[in-house]
Amino acid sequence: MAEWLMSVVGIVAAGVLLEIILPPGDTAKYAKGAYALIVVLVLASPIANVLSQFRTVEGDATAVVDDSFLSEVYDRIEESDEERAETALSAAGFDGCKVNIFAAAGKTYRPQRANVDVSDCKSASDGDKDEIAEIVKKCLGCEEVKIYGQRE
Amino acid sequence: MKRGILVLLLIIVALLSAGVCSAEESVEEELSQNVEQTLDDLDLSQLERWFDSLDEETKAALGGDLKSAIEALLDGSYDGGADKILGLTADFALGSVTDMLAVCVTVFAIALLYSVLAGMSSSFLKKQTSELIAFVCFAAAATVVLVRVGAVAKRAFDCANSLNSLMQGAFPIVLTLLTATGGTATASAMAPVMSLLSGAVSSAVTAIVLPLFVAATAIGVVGNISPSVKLDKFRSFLSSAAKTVLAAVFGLFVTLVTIGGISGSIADSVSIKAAKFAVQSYLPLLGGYLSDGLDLVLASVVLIKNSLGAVLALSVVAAVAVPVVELAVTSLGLKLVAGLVEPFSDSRFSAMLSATAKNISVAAEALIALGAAFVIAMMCAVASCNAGVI
Repeated sequence: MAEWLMSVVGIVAAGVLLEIILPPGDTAKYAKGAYALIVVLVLASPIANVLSQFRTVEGDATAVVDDSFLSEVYDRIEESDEERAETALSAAGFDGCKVNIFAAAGKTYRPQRANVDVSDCKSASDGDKDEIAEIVKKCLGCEEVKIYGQRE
Repeated sequence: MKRGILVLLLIIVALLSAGVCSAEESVEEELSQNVEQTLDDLDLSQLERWFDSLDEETKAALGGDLKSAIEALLDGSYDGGADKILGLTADFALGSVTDMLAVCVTVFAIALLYSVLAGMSSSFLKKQTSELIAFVCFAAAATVVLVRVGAVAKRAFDCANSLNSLMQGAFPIVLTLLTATGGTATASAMAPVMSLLSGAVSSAVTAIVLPLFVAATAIGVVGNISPSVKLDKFRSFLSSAAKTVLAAVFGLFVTLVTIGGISGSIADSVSIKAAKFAVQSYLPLLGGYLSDGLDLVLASVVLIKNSLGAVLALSVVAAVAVPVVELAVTSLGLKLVAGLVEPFSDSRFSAMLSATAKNISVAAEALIALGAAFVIAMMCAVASCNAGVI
């Protein structure tokens, strides 16, 4: 670009000089005609370069998601979901249950399966398995709930 | 008896209120902790480097460094903002007017000198001597104008490159925050649009539009040196080409970002609301507090997303305002001098000055369009995925 601009400035300065030094007469007419062709050539020379710039203007910038940050946030959401499920079970009379969530792999957080350890829950019996599973499923929205350590 | 029952009722109401207040306070404290933790986990290094590259006045107008600005916005103690940026821009505008005044006076003096010399040139033996004098005076005026235009063009290029760096630092973070709030459809729709803006659109401005502006300006100046070399139509073509590229690129971009942002956010809002409803509907009395567990972590991400969006939008305004003001002042100054020299000087002077003033508007439009596109993209991201969570 800078070289092209310098060549334009140069050709215009040459035109001024030509105006000054050319003697009047027929020679001046032909000299000016030749000069006009040179001006057109200089002005049109970068057009091919400009057209190629259009092709190269794609940019290779890609906006990528920070997976380590997502992992940190989802870990915290998982912890708070586990606390929430345990609180829901306590509210329903099942104190001491431990909930462990397994989330689906992927960019979105989605609890897929929950394991509930009822070994420390004194009020939970084998017959309460379905109720506990139902509470946890509705609280977390997960598809599968497994109960461990239930009493007879 | 009745009095005893009334006192008992009052005590129960007081205890319930205290319980509610303390529950609200603990939720607020937990939210604040979540916000702090989320902010620490977020990698803001690229954006912080961009903020460090700003001058002290601009940083102060934006509220200090990036993390402080976000925390202050969330606290409600943010002391930066539009009024500080306006003050900064006004101070700069005053300085720019003073600088431009010097240029205007110089060009006016040269044009005046030329008209005096032209009046004396009738006594010269040869016409070529008059032409030489005209050439020298015009070249002097053109040099002064080109030095000024060169400085503002450099600032315009620096601004465009700075905005490009800001976009490349900001967009991955915004997409990450959108994804973390469950806005995967919005993030998927916005990712190619943001890549387009920080890649192709930004490159089109720095590689095509601004160089065309520089070329048109230079042609506009040198094309008026000699009456036998007429380049006004060519200058007009270069200027129109720059405006056409700008209009095409940004028109397409704004269409894509608006459609992508709206459709993505509708899809996400439905899915997030469905998840929230499932939790709340199970426990009708305690659902509010228990579903807060889901909300507090996501709410902290949403708060950071929105305040980051606000800080970035203000940063763009601060970055773009100064060069645009300088371009506007330069354009107005050149138009003023063109009007003042037209009555008594050669038509080449006023033609050169007015052509240069017209071309400068292309650079200003390019910077404003780039800044506006960035703000539109940010606002679409900020406005998304709030309804389902808050």
